[in-house]
Amino acid sequence: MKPLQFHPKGLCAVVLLALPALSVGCGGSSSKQNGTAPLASSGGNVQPIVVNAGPAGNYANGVFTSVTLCVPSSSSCQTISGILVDTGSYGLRILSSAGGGALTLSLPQQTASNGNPMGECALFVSGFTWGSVNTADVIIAGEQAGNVPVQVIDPTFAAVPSACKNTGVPENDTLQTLGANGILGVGPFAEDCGGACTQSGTSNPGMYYTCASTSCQITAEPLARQVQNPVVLFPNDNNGVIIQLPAVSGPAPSLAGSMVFGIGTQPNNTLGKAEVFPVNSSGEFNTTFKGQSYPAFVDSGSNAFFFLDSDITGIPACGSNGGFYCPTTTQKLSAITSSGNPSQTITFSIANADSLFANRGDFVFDTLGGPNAGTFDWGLPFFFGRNVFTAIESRNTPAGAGPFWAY
Amino acid sequence: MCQYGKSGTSGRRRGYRRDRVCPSPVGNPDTRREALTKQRFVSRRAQTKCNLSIRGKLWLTALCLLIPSLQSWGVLGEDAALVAADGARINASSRLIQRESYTIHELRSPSGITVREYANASGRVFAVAWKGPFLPDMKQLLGTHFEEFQKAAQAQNRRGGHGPLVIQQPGLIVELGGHMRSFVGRAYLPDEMPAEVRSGEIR
Repeated sequence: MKPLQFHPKGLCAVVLLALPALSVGCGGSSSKQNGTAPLASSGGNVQPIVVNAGPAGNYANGVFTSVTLCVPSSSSCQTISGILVDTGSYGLRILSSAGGGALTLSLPQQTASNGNPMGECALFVSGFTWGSVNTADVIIAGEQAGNVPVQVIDPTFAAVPSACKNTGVPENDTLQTLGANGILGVGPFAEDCGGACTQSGTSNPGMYYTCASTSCQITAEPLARQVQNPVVLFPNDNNGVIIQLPAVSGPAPSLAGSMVFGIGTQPNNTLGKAEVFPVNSSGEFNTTFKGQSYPAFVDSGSNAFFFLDSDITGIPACGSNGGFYCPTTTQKLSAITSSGNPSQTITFSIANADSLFANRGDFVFDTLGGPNAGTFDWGLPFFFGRNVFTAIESRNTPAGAGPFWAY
Repeated sequence: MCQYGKSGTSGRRRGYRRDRVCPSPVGNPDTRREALTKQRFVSRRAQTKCNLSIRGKLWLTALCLLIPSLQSWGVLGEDAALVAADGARINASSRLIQRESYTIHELRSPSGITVREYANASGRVFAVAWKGPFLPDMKQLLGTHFEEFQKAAQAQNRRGGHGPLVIQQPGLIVELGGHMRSFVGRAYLPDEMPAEVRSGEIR
């Protein structure tokens, strides 16, 4: 159940609970959470997920799962746990044992037309991952995708190219810097780069490289060979995912939930009353806060509500936990998510991060927030108490083709 | 090809329209020479044309407005006219936006990254902002501040997790947000911001 303090119609809800006969007049809330109906907890398309400290033992608000990788068309497989579930990226990345990860299976390397192995610098906001592009059969729950291009994150694969280093963001190629044994990118796109990486010359942003023994060169990479969101390669249930996590009130050590594959493909993944929010070519929609509209996105791989700045929110940043908000008292806020006509008011609270982190045994924080200039990043706490549907670009669903979010 | 003149070399903020084609004859000749030397992409022929006639200037102005110029990102803390030097590498199109107390030089790379450099009245870049499907070359964009940014980014504490970068050093603010395939950010030197400029204008 959603905590009442998250609900602008909380009073109405209390009245409803106490006096069911007075329910008339309590409808019409724009903050209704349509996607919170329970989903099936088992089935061939349901994969358990859990919010906990993760394999590095210190991850606040990280949601993890297990993935089985196999050498293509073989019975040589390995199941790896501690994989971060990330709706803000696209494609499966596994941390090699050289980086301190769990992967010991030797997966075939993808080679470029010149015969050299393919390398990749994958860009995230808080860092980049560097390593080779390999091919694997990927099994999650009862779903299997064959010959999936994946990234094996490996700091020893080749010297990190200067274009990658010159982004200035940290290299996340070890268990400590990544905080996970890998990243499962199940966001609203099929490839991690898209059309730009199929180009040659200055239009190519420099994510894919052919790597000779000493150095790597930027190369064009066709869409089908780019690191793929494995969901699109499932034979069925391949149009998106649902992340389902229960509501919490206050910090907790862990939280169990489900990742359901497919949207409207099975009795257990129907949209129901969830509202559909189409996203643009950047993978974004809008959020209005205090009357001003900002670009926004929904990202299970961000570990807090990251939005705007202290000037606008009036919430001071923390001293020691830089990058988080530290209000003196918990702040109750609301913002309107929208994409053209559909809109939904989201109410949320921001507590003092220093206080939240005081108990080192807690790793689930529903009120953790931080600054993010000019943007709304609806991170993992947004998923608590919601079923969040992520539909992939160009894939059909009963509500039309993706990309969209629904909740 | 079509380097915009900057007040840093022309000494005339309001004259930027006329300065779009040709560096102004006004200003310190040594500074101008240095700037021109670094502007490898400014063709000598264009310079000659600039010195010829008003009609030539008009034609070249029209030409320059139509053809994407070869310009690079600006560099934080340096002169806007000087930092365009490395532009031959990046085939960016550009435009100029004049504000009351500063000038925005907006550049768009072929890979879809838009960079805005904010230059004060004397032509010094006090802020840069970027947006696009990838990150720009931050080493080039931040110049001497790059290492400071890099170190601070590595030290960022998210209690093991991932999220946007917020770097707040005494003389340098860097904010980087977004997600894979869509990045947005800005960097500015608070001590060099014109007094009337609010950080919210940097975007």
